Amino acid sequence: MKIIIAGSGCAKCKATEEVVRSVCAEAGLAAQIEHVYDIKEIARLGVFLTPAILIDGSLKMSGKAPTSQEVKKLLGIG
Amino acid sequence: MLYTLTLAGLFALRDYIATHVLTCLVPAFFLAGAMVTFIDRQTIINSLGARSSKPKSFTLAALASFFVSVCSCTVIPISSGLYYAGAGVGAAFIVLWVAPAANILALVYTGAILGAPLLLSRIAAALVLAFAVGYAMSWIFGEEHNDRAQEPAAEADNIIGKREIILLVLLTLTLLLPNYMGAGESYLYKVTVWAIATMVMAGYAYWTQTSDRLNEWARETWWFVKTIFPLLLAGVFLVGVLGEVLPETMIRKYLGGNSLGASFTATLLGSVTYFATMTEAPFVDKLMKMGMGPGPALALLLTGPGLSLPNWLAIARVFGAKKALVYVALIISMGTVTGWFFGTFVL
Repeated sequence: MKIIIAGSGCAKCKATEEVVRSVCAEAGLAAQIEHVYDIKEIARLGVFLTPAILIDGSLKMSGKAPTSQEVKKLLGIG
Repeated sequence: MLYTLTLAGLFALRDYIATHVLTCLVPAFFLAGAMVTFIDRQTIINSLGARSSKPKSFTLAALASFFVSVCSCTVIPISSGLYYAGAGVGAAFIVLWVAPAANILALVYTGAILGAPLLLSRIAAALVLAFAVGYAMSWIFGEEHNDRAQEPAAEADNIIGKREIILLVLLTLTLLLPNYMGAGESYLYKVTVWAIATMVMAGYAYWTQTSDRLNEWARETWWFVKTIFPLLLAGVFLVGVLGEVLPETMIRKYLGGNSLGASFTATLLGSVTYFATMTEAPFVDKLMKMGMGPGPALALLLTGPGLSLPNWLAIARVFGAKKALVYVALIISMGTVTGWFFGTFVL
């Protein structure tokens, strides 16, 4: 599984990455997590509202910092 | 010396906290949180795809920007996303300009602190500048993204529900009523008005929203408190210190009246310095009390949150140096003229 976090470096974006990493670590999920900071690259991913989470190429959430519950739901382990 | 300065800063902070926190800041943060939670920004953005007619797409972009973002930091991804999705350079730059310069939160907060004339001027001036920027940018740079342009998928009709609109209106009232009905009255009176309005709003929210949504709203509100409140306090402290250092005669000389020169100075100050959203209002308030004219005040209100040096660099990275340069030059020249015009003929 490949998880992309699209964030422009804002506080919420950092929080999102932390939540995703801790949920994956806790669940023992071997996911490849990447944080994309470049705004042009973010636009190419089809993201308007940062932070956003993409899982295996599809946009799952955007515009807010999720709780760990919400991330678990996105990953199908909640 | 250092002692007097610190003291001046602390006094400014004390005044600000005593008179603004409960009746201005608390409602403003709840309003900001509610905008993020209850307005479907993705749907708004989706409706902004490329359109054939410029007046239509520009109007839509300008109006949507009132709701889509509250600070210059989150607007750059939105604007660049629109641009690369084919929305045309004019519309993309309109969003980039209007969202920080005239979003609902900034406007309501300006109204609460600085009064109705400056509020209405801020709206009018931001819109005029938006169309000027849109036409100028698309005239200079053309619509090079036409190849990727596609008609927007669907007209947006689910942007926000009726109940959520009522909630946002009630929230706006909790911010405006204490400051308008309470003008010239005692602080206790203001607080009473605030408390009644807030109870009505809270009751309505409780009855109409699910607990999930309320929780999300609380979380978003807390984010704003965490990120903006320290900046606001630092800003107010700084203003207090500046008030001590800068003699009023100097402010009167460079920012007083409504001349083109004063307006230019204010525009430049606003375009270079970073103002976090909402910090521009108390800053302008203080400077006006020290002798800044209403025209320069408007110029500073517009360009303060909309442009800053770090912002220039980010825009240059996303849109290229040429577009960034033209945009900044446009805003500075038009901001100057707008400040002079409104100061001389309107305010």
